[in-house]
Amino acid sequence: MKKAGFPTARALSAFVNTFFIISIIVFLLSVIAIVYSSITYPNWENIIIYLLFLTAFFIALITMIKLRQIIRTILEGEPFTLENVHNFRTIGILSLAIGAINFIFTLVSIIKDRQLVIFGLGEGGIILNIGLFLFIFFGLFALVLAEIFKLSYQIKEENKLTI
Amino acid sequence: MPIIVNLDVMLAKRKISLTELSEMVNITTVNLSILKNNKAKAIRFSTLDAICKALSCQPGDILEYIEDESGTG
Repeated sequence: MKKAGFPTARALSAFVNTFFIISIIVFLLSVIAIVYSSITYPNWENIIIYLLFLTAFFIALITMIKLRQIIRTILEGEPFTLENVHNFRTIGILSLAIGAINFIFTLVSIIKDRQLVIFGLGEGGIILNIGLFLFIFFGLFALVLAEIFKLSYQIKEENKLTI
Repeated sequence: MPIIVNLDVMLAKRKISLTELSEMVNITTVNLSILKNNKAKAIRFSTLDAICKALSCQPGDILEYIEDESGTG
């Protein structure tokens, strides 16, 4: 396959790489902020929430590393590999994990505030708390994509053995 | 697989090497070897056409069906 022409894939790759670098910077800044505030104001409840936040962020970073691997194989012109099936499956499971952490966050806020606001008008304006569903939806989406890639891999292998 | 490719027999009869055939039909020797060693899962009609033309033979001279004892292929 040609290596020169994948303009959309190239643009996507540049976008993902930029986003990845920004995320790493934000992640490092949050680690510094969290360590600083945990030392200055030690509070167990907050530290647990911070750790959950960092775990979710870290999982998101791993997801993006996997995404970059997939984009690299697309640029090489061989995206239908078993490796990518595993990559998509990992992304799906990790995204579901973020959804689970988000669920814990929501549970904590329900216990604290004794109410759950998914959407509506609050003091700060419009509240749209769809993250809980978004991550689970995205995780399932990636798992479906993994299955599609598995089928594509089998078809590609059969095509390769057709002379 | 109950279908057997007898390409090597026909090549020997015509005294043509695999490399020569690959130049005649424009298929890489790697792919022809896959075909010759019965590793191929399918064969395109265009390939069969080109090989028959190059070796001036019938598809039946290259392909052979053998009854499978286990029943399934």
